Amino acid sequence: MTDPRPARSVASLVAELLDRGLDDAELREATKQVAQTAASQELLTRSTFIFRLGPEWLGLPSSVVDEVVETRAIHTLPHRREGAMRGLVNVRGQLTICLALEQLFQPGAPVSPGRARQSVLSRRLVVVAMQGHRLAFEADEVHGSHRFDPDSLRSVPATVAKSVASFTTDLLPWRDHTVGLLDAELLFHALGRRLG
Amino acid sequence: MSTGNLSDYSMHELFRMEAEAQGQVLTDGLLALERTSTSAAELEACMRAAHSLKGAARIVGLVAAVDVAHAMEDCLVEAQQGRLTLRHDVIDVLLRGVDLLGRIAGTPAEDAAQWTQKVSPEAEEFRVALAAALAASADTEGSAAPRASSPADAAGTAVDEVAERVLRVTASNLNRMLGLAGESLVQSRWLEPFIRSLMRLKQLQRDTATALDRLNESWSAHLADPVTVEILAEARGKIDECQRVLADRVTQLDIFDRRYASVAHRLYDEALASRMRPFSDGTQEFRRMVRDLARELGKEAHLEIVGETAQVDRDVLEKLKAPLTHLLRNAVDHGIESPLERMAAGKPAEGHVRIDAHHIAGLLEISVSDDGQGIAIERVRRAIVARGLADEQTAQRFTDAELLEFLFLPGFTVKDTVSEISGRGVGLDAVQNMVKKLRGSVSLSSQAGQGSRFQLHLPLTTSVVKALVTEIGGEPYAFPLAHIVCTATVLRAEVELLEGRQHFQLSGRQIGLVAAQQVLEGTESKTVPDELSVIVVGDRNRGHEYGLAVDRFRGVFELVVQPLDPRLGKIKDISAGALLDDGSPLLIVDVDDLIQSVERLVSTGHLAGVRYDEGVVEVARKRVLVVDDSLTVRELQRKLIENGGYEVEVAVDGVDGWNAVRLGQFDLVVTDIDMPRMDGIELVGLIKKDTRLRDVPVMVVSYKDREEDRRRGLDAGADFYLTKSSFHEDALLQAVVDLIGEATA
Repeated sequence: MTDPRPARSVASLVAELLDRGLDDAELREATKQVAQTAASQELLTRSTFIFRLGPEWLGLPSSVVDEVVETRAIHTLPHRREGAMRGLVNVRGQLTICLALEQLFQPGAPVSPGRARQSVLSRRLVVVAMQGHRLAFEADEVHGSHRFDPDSLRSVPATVAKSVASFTTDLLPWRDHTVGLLDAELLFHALGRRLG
Repeated sequence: MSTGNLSDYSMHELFRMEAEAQGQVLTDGLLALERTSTSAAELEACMRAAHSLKGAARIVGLVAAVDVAHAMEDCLVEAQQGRLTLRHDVIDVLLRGVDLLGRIAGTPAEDAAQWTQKVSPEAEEFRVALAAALAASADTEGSAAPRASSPADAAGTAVDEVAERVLRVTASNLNRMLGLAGESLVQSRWLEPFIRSLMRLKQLQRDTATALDRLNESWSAHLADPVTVEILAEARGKIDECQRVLADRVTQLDIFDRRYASVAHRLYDEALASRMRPFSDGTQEFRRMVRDLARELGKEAHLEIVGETAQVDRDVLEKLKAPLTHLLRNAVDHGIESPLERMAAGKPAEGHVRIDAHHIAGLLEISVSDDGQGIAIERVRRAIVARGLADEQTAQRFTDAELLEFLFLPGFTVKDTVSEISGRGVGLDAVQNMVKKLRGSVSLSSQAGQGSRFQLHLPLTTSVVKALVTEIGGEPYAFPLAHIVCTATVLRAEVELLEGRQHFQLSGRQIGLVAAQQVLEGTESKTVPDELSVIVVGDRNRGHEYGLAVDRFRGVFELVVQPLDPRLGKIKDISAGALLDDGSPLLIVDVDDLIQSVERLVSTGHLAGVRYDEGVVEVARKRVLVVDDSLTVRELQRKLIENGGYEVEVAVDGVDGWNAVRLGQFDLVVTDIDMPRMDGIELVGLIKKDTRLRDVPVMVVSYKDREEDRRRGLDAGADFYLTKSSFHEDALLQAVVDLIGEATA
């Protein structure tokens, strides 16, 4: 280390500092930390996007959720006003199809006006994308991504309402609620069939 | 040096792209050489292109392409050195060589073995043909002294264009960019009202200052103590400062707003402009096509293209190719005469066809003209009478322009014989339709003996449309201006009832009135205002004029058209979507579609009403899901089972079927065995394992009729196994009935 340039010597000092061995106390502390995080993180291997539709809390795989934006004007489509179709909505300058997810779970259920009044502030437009196709739906409330331990999942009891249940793969306890995890592929399939 | 292994797909792909580009250079150059056979610049360009192709072909081991390019290069070098002249025949062969190169390059790498052999019959054939053409050309060499290559020629083409680099961008990428640019424009408009709202704050501060002043005055009259006076003065000072700071911030915000809005605007304009391409992008094949066609017909024709730099929307350009091709073929086939006829008429032997493109008054004007024989107007007149489109007397009264209009009618032709090239009578009406689809128009003029001229007027872009924005049922809908006859405000008192339908008078015409909301939504608005806002659409001459009553007019806007999500399919009465200035969505009305809807409503409205009143009682029918990857089998089964009164849904493979069966609440599943993604056995297994679905009966229908196949299906849990070979109407339907009973039990 006889390099006369000061910059170089500072660099080598830093390198030396980083290369130095740990003393026993530091090593113990570090080991403890590593052991701890491994124990608690190993389990949180899956992630779901949690939102609320009416009284129900539901979860979609985080990977299919493109973005969440505030609600905005939805233009209905003439001759297509039945069923789950709500119309077109502007997401980042692009007209995107907006659907009523609750119609899928409870066909024929009216989009209750009372519900809209009750939670205007928390309502969000959720944009999902699968295989390059985008769709939007309105959720009454959005929690966001939540990591969880797959071992904490419970199976869907046969007594749950058949319509929702057919899309639900598992139940996830979360805070005071039970979140129904949705089968994204089946959901998209069902929505796709309702577009044409 | 064949590598024998062409698995290196990307190299092959590169060669294909190079062959495309160099092929275009060669084609352009050769066509130019055909007219000025010694143009040094063209010869040089062609020689270089052939040379590059030779080298590139060698790298990828396409021996045949090397041979062809090599022979072409030799020939061009000879011509460069003045040792031979490129005549029509030679150019013919050389152009065929370009085609051959294109074909070789276009062969997928895995099939290209035929081109990698030492001797390729096609390449050999080309070499022989070229040699023969050169020999024939040499025989007559003496008759025409080759012109010395003039430097002017070279200069003339060299400065022609300094091509700008072009990037390939996918349409969806561009659309997303346009979307974001639009979004930023909408966002930029938010700031101005916000700044104006700060004025309220300014006013409040001013009021506070005034109040303090008044307080100060009243206090000073009562000889207040110095402490109070001081506090008051301090408060007054703070308020002054508040006003100063606020004013300063507002000014800065204002400046920022202007800067931001300007950037957003430019960004948006640029994004829109990136859809534009020079006209020449769409005309590359035309020169060659005209030449080849003329040679085929024993004529001589040259195509001149003017206005190649005119900017045109890439979609418009794409859709223009077909109609322009058609018009050019027409010009060469019907317009241009044979060289002998032309000479006799005192014209040069070579016919002249010209495409001229330019912007005029915000439109793209393209004319296609030729100096041929023009259209024999009397033959058109005779054809009109012969086809019973008008009687002799009427036909005599038609002006030339009116007569020419008939040529655009479907199936109308004046040719007695159908030629290979054109004259089938499916021509000009197709051209007109294509142009109309682009919201343009086409007109024809002709002078006997002088030639004819088609004129197309098109919007510069289909991505921006000028439209009247209206409100229907509380939602914005836009009507493209090009499709509106006029607008009117009609007083309720002016609406008359005629045969039970509403009408009003407009400049002496009776126009039927329809509520737009009723057409679009099937509902009528509850309140009828005293004044109706009416848009008149349709064709006055054909008596299809209708007045559409809308809630109100919002004004004329330039809208950036957004195609709707293709998954929606065609939505009746709607052509596309767009965004308003504030970012809210609107729909653009498909006026032609809407007129049809109105007509249907008018002609069947009464009937529909009666039928509606009867109230069809919805009978619950049993539901059957048919899963098969063959469309034919699927539809056959659907038809057969529907004949039994069942409701049938279909799925195209196992995965689709599995998704459908979980959603559809079916009474029976009918499935094939051999299917992609998930086969029938697996599907049956899944259904039978699911607690909610296991009671749904499943019938397997398969070609496999061996006993072990049957066993496999039934073991998986199928309730019935039907073989397709023993498959006829009764068997399938009977099996369905046996399993789940009659359709409406």
